[in-house]
Amino acid sequence: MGIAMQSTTRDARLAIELRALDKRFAGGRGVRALDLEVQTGEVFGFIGPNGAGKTTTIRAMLGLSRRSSGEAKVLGVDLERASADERRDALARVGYVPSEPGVYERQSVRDVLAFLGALHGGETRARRDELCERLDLDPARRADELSLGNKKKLALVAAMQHRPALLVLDEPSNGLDPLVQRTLFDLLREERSRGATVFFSSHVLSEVERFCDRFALLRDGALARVLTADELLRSKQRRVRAEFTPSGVEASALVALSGRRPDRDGRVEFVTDAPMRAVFDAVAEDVREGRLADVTVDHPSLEELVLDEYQSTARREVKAS
Amino acid sequence: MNTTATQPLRAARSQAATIATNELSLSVRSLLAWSLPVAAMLSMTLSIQKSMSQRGSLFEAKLAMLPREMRAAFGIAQTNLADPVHYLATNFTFYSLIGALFAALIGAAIATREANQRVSEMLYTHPIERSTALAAKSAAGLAVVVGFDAILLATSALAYTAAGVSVGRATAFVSVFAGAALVHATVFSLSLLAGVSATRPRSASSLALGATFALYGCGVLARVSDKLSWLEHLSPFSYADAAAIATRGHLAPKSIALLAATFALLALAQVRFARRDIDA
Repeated sequence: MGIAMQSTTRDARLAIELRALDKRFAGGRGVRALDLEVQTGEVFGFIGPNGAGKTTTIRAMLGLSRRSSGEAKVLGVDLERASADERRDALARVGYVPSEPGVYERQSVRDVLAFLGALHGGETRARRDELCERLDLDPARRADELSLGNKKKLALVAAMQHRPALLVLDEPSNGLDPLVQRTLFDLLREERSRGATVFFSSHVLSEVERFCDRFALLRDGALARVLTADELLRSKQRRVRAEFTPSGVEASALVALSGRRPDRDGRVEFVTDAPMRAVFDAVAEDVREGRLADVTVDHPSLEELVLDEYQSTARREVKAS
Repeated sequence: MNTTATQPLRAARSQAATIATNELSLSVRSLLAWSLPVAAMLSMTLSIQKSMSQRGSLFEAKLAMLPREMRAAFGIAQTNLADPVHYLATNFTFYSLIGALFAALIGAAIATREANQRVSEMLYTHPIERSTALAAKSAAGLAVVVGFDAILLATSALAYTAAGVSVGRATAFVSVFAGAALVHATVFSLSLLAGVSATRPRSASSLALGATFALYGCGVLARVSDKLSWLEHLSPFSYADAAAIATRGHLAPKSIALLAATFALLALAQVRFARRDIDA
């Protein structure tokens, strides 16, 4: 059978493989020179602000849109260039949740899910019923009357009802209430323990940080950074929060180290990869001179790292211009 | 883990059947909403054929007083109200246009349904080829469009029977509807092509309706003016004119061009659809 034969001709460790992926649009936006590898069984977070190219990347790698150049393989198969059989075999093992899922009008949730499940050819009903129950989705409701959150649930059930080897989720928790979000992440943990790979983009960086093994940061269509959860913890970067006395702000060594201007209340917050010795020296000098009212130095969260990454790049661009 | 069926061909057939069934279930309401009122109107028109034929000579004389161009434009140049098939053909131009508008809407809707309802991404990341999906959707659409004409054929036959009219020339009678079905299939395919090519899917229906009126207009202009007679080659309505079929008794050999055009347009739609980005 196709799947078994293909696995011998590809690197089975990689669930997703992007090489110099380029997707250009007439308007100019897109993604450029994207290199990315996602290991089988990994939970991978894809982070970036609106318009960074997350959805464009996902669509190009899933063969929904034609890439301008480069390579993209999903479960070892180039979905744009593979034969029909190879593509079908690969897609039978993929589940995808779009960022803004729609539904067929004038059909019930049950009908839409049964239709999509039938495309997989196998038995999906029991799993579908279980997922609907756990996500609190009423199968009897008309699909076009669902709220955004319920449409998202429908898309999640459609993506998971055939127990895929790879789940690609574009903003999966967007529109879901906190209780359902928790159920979603429970389900994703179960998928992961089953051996499935999970690739998801999100704006909620705290959930990415909590859930993912690795993260990729995308900015303006290019990969800014890829790091693991361990790297995040072992990062030499530190988050510094300091509050200064009114007279101490101007001469502060810590302010000079941050390269930032304190706010009106004399507070400054920044992420730095300067040696700890330099940070402590600056803190010590400010304490000695009575400039510092309060200071905290700790590990930055992923959100802070990401914000710092973007703000630093933006500052570099302003300086360069 | 789930895998696809062991027989790729069987799997593709099963998927095509799933897509076609889904498409039929989504289109059947439109079919009934369009065909039943039209069938009722046509039945009422046909049920008075007997009385019209009794006063036929007076009515035909009145029609003959109309300018030739007007009679040509409305397909009433050759009137013989005493003959049920001719009577049907005289009235059929209007119904054929309605059928073409329905076919245009169905073609555009089928091509753009997933994009308009934002389910394209979800559908085409399932293990189904775009070509299989579009072929299945096209087959379902053609079935709906031809179903429109089949419903008109059945109700027309019933109306004549109920009114005690013997059609007599059964081949000619069926050929009028077969000709209309060919025209509608061509319009459907053109609209499908317009739908898969449209950069803004929501505008596809307007585009398809506009194109249908334009093609119909070409047929009318070709009949009205000798100088514009070449326009008949552009209009599918000219290839299966009901009045000409009623006179001839069967479809003209040139109507085979409609079948060829239908397949060519469907093939073009496949090529276009395979190359476009799916982004909704």
